Amino acid sequence: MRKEHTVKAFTQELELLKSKVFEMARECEGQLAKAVHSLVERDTELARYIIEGDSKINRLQSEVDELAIRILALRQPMALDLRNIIAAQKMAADFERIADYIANIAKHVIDLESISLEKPIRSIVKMTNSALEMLRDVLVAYQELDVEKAVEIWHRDREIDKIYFSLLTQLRTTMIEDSTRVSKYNSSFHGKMLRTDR
Amino acid sequence: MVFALLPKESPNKDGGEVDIEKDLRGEDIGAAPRVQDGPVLVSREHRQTVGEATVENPRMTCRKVNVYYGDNHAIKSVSLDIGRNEVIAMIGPSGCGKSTFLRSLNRMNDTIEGCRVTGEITLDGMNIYDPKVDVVPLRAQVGMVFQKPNPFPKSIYDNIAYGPKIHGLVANKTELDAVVETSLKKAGLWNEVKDRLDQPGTGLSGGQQQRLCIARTIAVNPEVILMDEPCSALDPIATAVIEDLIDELREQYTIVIVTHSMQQASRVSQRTAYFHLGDLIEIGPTEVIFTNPRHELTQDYITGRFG
Repeated sequence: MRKEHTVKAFTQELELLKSKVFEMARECEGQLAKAVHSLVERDTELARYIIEGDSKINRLQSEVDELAIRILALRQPMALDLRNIIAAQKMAADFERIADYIANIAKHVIDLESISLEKPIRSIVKMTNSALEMLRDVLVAYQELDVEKAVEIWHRDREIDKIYFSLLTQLRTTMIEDSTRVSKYNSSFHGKMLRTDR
Repeated sequence: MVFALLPKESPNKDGGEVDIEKDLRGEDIGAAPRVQDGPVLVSREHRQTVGEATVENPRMTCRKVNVYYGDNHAIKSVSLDIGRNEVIAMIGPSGCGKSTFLRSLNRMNDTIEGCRVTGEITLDGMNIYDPKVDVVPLRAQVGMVFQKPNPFPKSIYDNIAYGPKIHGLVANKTELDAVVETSLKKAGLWNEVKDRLDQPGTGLSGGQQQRLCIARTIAVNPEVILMDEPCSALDPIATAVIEDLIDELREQYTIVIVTHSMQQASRVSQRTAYFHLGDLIEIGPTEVIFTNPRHELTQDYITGRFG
């Protein structure tokens, strides 16, 4: 059993920090579920909504950073508390990055509006579902400080890698079989890179 | 990885680039996780010392040391080595026995009525509780600096000169002058007082007085310096000066410091010992104690979960 801090405000601050990380995670979960929906349904409206939603996660990350710095400066945490705060900051950075990728998926949905993508979509949905499950489970592991569960989730990454590599092969085959569509893919990707890389 | 459709160089928030291919291959997920870093701790009920109590080639050794004040069992079978040229910090709540243990290292407890010490404490292999041991030279070898600076009501010069004179460490005035100068230099006080050595030590500021007491301890060639909360009466600047001094003195002396400030323990020491109700609960490298303690009681204390 973990004891409470003698200074109760310290416990409250740590809980607030954790709740913000959880909020980021739930936002990511929602964004990812929407992203795959927008891809399957070719819903560009929803895709735009997802892109807008990214700013909320960015804002949350700034809040986590601010709060973490404040706690570090004012409470001088040690041991377990120190580790918790550093871990929260790292997780917040990871969730922020995940959200960026999700927003990128939404941008592709808009760019690929008129292109048929049935085959790859099946693999992508599969990957997304695995990723969603990882996100959900990792939150449970974090909540319960379950190290074994965390390691198990970490190793699940391999499954998603496998799907990804077979998808790449599949896409290459498609491009060879139907080269008329390659330029469409290419132009849309190039357009995306030019626009977002500044 | 759900980001299969992304271009290889996708932007992140900072405008930096994320290499997805590298992401996939970069991490060896087959590596064994360091599960011992998880929240697996020795439980509060466990009172045997956790951690490495012994060191190679120790300056002092303590074996099964018990200290009693009448019926009160203040230190319970503590075994601990004190290494050469290291600063070891003793931390723990009030009444945990850290000061009692410190005072048993140069037999300061002898002066307290009803105090009894059992077990063995050695300095360079010599049992300091051997009846043949004379405590006067022992307390020069194992010097002590107290919580409140306590200079003698004498001049700055005489404060330092007193010890070497009564211990017969100097042959003449020239030698004595040299000892006073080196001691004050080592304590980082020389430049501030060299032009007023004849003035009373009590006229110095708190931080200067404490450095004067450290100089007085150094003047009799100690091997070990015991410090009982040496900065608790000082402001942060004077504290920083003393902490810097402790760091320098470590090259020549072994230092044992009792402190209520965990930040101070983490700043000045290489090893930290945590005491709880007379038991030595945990001992280890300072960076481990403050980042990854192994005992629940240590964790409770250093993270501020008291009582």
